[in-house]
Amino acid sequence: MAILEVENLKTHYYIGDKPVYAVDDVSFTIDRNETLGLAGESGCGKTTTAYSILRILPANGKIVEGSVKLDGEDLVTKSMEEMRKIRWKKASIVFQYAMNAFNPVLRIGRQIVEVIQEKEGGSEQAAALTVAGLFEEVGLEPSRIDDYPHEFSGGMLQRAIIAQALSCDPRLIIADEPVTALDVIVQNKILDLLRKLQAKYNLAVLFITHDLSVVAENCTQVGIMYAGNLMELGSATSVFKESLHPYTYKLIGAFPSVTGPKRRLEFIPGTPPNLMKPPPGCTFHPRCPYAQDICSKELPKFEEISNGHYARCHFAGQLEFGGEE
Amino acid sequence: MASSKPILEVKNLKKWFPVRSGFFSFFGEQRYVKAVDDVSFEVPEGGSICIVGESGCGKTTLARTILRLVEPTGGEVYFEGENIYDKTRGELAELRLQMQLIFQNPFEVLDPRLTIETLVGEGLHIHNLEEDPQVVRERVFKALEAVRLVPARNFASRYTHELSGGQLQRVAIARSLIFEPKLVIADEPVSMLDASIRTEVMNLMTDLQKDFGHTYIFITHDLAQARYIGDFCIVMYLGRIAEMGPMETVILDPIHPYTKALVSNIPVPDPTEQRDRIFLEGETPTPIDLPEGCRFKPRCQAYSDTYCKPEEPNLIEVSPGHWVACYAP
Amino acid sequence: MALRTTVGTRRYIVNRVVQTLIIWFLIVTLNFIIFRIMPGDPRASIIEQGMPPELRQAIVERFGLDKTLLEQYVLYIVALFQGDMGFSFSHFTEPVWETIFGFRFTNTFVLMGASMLVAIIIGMVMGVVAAARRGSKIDTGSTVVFLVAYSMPVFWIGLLILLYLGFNFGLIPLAGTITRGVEHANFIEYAADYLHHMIGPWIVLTLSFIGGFYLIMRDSVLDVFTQDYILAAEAKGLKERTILYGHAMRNAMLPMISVIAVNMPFLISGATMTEFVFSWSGLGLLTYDSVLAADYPVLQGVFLFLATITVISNFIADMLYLRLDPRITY
Repeated sequence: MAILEVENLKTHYYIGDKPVYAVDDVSFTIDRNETLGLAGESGCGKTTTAYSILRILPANGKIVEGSVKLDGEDLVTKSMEEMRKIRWKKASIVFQYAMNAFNPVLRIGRQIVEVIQEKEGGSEQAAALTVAGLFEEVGLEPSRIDDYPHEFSGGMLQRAIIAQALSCDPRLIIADEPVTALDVIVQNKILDLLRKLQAKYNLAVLFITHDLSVVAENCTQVGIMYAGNLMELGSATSVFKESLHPYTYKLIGAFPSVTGPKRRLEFIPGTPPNLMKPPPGCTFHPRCPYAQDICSKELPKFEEISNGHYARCHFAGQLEFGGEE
Repeated sequence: MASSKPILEVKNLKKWFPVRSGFFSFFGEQRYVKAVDDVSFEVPEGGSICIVGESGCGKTTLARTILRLVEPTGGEVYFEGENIYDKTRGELAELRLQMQLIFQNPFEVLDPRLTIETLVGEGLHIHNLEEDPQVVRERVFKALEAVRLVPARNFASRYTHELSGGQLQRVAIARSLIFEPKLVIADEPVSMLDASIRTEVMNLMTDLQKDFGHTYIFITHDLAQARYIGDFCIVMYLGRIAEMGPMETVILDPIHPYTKALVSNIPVPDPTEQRDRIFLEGETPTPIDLPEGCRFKPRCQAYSDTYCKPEEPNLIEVSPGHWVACYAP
Repeated sequence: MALRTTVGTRRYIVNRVVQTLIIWFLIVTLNFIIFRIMPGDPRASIIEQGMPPELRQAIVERFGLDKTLLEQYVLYIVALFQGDMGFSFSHFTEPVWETIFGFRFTNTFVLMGASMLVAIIIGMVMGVVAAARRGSKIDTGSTVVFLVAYSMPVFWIGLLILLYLGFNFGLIPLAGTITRGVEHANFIEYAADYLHHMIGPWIVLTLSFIGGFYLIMRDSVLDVFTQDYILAAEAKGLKERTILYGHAMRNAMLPMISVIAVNMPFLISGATMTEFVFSWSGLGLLTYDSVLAADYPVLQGVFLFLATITVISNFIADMLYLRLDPRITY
């Protein structure tokens, strides 16, 4: 059974009375020991999706439709107090800027102890012992438990953040751009650590990033978002090698590589739409080289095209990429 | 490369920042952050050079020192054969028109209260290059067209908030190109931009070079990006050049253990590709209190007492144009 | 948590002490110069027409005004370190030290202390609550109330309070610090009478202080709320109380400290009006009277006192920062 099931999730922000369609009809599932990479460019709704799951949206954000089932329990219908108790106990989140995710004036150990005591109860000593164990597990000196955040390097902080994320034995970890601020060598060490811990604790991981190269190397499943919609979803190999959506194909082609022959990179003319006034029909049609009349009139359905490989495109499976222009 | 005559020569450039330690710091030895520590290289005219490295390797300080935005601790920089550190303030101001800098974040560079036309054209007024408003306008329109913000007339009257990040970066480029510089130093010019827009800007910059014939120095942390945009690569580690050479050679066939590790760690947008990662111990330290000899020694896997000498390794030309600072065979 | 006593930190503290002393010494010097270059002759207030020339000469000599400026300066410094700030012109040649630090300092200190303490506590707590409930009725309500209190002239509220609470309802005395002509049986009775007199000025001062503290705290907390670690704390499912008082308030207090320190002299001089309205015999009233009486020695003493307070409170603020913000290391 899937640990996380997101179904037809719609989250809108409100500016005055006007909705911003930040997340519009997103569905996916994540199994234990599985990593779903949710990728897309800035403003595509990937972070809003993550915040919707934990329900830590800003005051003007609202889940208007859909369900988020964690271990079979629907989180959307929970009260805020119930939700507060579920957070970190069942699902935790790793933020992009580890430097800012710890309170700068409190000791790191103290901050992790605080959340353990809040969630699991128990004495401060017991919690401190747990933290020391976690530090060891993520490759930090347990003796540095009393350090302040600014005394850690970027990589060490990211390790401490992971230790904190694991501190209450969650089923799901949401990693929101967990390595974007780090240099590549440290980045890979952190990703290796995350993979190792995932296997050990059978975690479901929702991995959010704008970097498709990182997705390619770290995720078993991939979802590509654009303008609030999930455009394509499937195994990493099928999404990268047999892309169904023109946006996916173009976006992957925009990432340069250090291996293989040097090739021309793709780009997509134009800019993503204003989500207060999304275009009619498919949100990608104004930038799509394959757009037909129907694309500007009807919103394509999110459909399974081949086994476990979904796309939201009228012509999914019928397009030949690479030959045009 | 268009010609072998160097437009820029950097010789033994050093930029050390003193470590601040309060009023009474004259007691005890002054310590330094050796952000740039004895760097020499040449930039051929019409070339497009990439300086790559991790954060804190000194690449940005190097760019700033080359432009003399900060004064060097030692060394020389020759632009078209003349040492820029010998120049007076006035001469330097003139010279800077020939050496333009493009920043990472166009939002921070472009004043939101000015129109695009003013932003692109104001430099001509400031430097008294052009008086006639009609001519300025024509040159602004030409620059905007060159960076493909067309029709230029429509963009000229807009403000920065009406433009996307990619368009703004093109405005920043137009603002530099209006002087028709000989050298453009671009510090992470596309890092802030989304992937689908990034290529467009990179392609544009390459195309502009064909039209205007200027030389590029790109500063970037992303080797894959560097490979796409540059033809010569300089890899820096802790303020020093570890390896430099033709781009494809450095990326596909690196020699320095650090370059090897760096390249092996760059993620590749292909889930089917299996690559061997070279694991490096620890994190890159700050360049204060560096180890004796090779500064990469503490993390180096190729280190050996038999061939690594106690003094700092110098760059050695291993094949034409390919230089490596390493003792390992 | 003790001060982190690394070598660097200790050196910083020593640096800061030396710096504070140097600044204080400069202020002392400036204080000397200002009163020498001011227009008007201080002697004019004592020397009257028709005084015999010998007496005039005696006064000039008595105050050392026949000496050179440098000699006067040296005398001034030496005397200052002996606690001698000269004699008041208007208070029957009482030593300035006593004029300031006798009962007047205590009166101001007690009044200011009580008002500041209450204003800071209420201002901070309400600031945190208002920020946490931004846009709610509590937020709007308290912002309006405190802003109005903040912007109303002190003498006007003072007069209103005197008129209603004092004159109409007779709840508070109209003037002074204690009831005149009453022999208090013991200290408790004396204190009760004193506090009774303090109610009026205390309300006025507290009201005038609270708005500033409230607004700074509210702003500062709102700023902290935009920080990632607050979102992280929320994602961790911590209780709202823990987030507000364990995380947000501590960080938001940092700007508060420097604002209080820098504004110390303004707060004290702001009390002048209140002391005047309620005839509260403190430093504010003393300053007012001394200006009218051209009592230069006392004014000089008061200014020096205010400057000293400012320098000291800034020093204390730096030390508090060092203690509250672990990022500051030297």
